[in-house]
Amino acid sequence: MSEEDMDSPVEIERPVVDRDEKMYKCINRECRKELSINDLDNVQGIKCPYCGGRVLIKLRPKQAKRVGCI
Amino acid sequence: MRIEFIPVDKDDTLMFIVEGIDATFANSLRRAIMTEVPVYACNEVVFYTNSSPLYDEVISHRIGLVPLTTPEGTDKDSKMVTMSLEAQGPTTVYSGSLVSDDPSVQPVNDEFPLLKLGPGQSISLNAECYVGYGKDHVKWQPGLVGYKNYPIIDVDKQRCNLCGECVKTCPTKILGIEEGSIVVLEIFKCTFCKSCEDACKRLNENEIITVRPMNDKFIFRIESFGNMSTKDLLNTALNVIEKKAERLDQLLNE
Repeated sequence: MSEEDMDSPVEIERPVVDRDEKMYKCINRECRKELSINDLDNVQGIKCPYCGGRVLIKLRPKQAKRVGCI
Repeated sequence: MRIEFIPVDKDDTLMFIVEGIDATFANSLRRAIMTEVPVYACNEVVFYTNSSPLYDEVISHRIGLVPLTTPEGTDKDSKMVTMSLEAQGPTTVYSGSLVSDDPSVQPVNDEFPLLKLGPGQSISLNAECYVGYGKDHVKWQPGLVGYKNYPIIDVDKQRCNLCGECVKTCPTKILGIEEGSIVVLEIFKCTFCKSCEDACKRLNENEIITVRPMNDKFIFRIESFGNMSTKDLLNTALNVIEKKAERLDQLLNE
């Protein structure tokens, strides 16, 4: 690899994320709200904007998942 | 070569005696049946939802190991078959819940448990089934095959005192005393353990009974997993060996 190539920034293709898609879920038993990235942008740090719960779990994406039978 | 079939009670088992072959050919036949017969098995699973406690990978692995019926004449170029599964908890999902788009390709038994779903849990998937060979993955293995040499059990009737020690010692109980001599009742069950020889030597200090294998006669046992009948399995494997031999002959002539 030449020096010019090393200096030029490498562009990484990032997947397009739908910021309104419900990707997380608050595990607070009284809340259980599903949250999008936009919902999380409205609060400081990572916590549920509805109940303040600090433990969120990631939900299964809507895309079909292909798994090999190994 | 002479083949003699042995009657067996089970439908999925075939036993036969082959005479006039050597161990090399017997082993090539065993390997051909286990690794060269094309059968259907699930190769990939597309998951749409899975809220069960099991990971997608675990479920796909289990579905992959479900043996599927394979119609006659199937080869590597046969079309892909899709099976779909949709279930809502609480329930236990069995292989019978897999709905195939080709009625000739189905799970061989509807009662293989795949997973348990609790209340509110669900699963939805499509399983893609392809034709493959046992040499690539055990899910494409159509059955089990074993062979052993045909035993020869010789009894020196003149020196035998009919003490009955060999009859008592034999773990598979294949020996008996009939009309004043030792007789072999079920020779197929002999495992060459030579317990009878040892017991006889202990008491008589002579080799009155001897057990030895025949080198050109073999007892085969084929157990099918249900993908196809045992006779189809044997025929397909013999065709494979024949084609390979023809191909080798053709290459040598070129």
